[in-house]
Amino acid sequence: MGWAFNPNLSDRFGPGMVYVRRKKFPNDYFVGGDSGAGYVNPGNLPEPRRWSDLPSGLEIWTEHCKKYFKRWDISITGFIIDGYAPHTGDKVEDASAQFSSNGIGLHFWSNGWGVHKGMPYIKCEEAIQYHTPEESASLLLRFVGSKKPDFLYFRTILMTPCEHKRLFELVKASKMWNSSIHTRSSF
Amino acid sequence: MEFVDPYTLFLLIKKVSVTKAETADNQGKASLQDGRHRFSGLPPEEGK
Repeated sequence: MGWAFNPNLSDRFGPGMVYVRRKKFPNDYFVGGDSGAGYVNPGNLPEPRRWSDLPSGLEIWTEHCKKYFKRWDISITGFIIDGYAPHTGDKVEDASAQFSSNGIGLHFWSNGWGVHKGMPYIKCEEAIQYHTPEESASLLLRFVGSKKPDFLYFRTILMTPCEHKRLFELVKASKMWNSSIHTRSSF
Repeated sequence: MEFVDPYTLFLLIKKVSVTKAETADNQGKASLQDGRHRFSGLPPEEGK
């Protein structure tokens, strides 16, 4: 479970960032949120910048993210959101590799997983977001059932820890979970 | 099926990707290229 608190929230609520780290359980991990240290569509940062025509903001954004990722010991960006901006692109991935070397979740820029200049990436599946735990569990199982064995990566939004717990319980109680072969130990 | 934390997931992706690339090299095939799964990267209004 990766909790995507944007690390620059520490400017407003540093004690909260410390609190969640002190209270974390072994299955809780922290990653950067959309799309690094701050909510932004990074695809809008490289030139040409469609509406503003400003110079590239990629370098200053990278330095901003480096500072906060280092401060909070984060090396994964949970999700780089493309939205209606140009898709992530190589320039944004190159920038992300400087502060998020252990991985990035991608939006439209990828339809699978792999490695970009040493940094692993994977498409973020949006199938279960904005639902109740029951609906999310059902959607997740349906989605997984439609796929060949693979790495999958899901994003949830505005779901509480208790709702996540319920989601995991429902999936683990399912027939699919109990009939599947667990192979991670073979790596 | 198994849930893993994000750091483990990305470590596994890296290991499998490297293994696949090495296998391709050993078989004399072209190495897997970064971005082989990608869409075009064009803005949405220009299609993908």
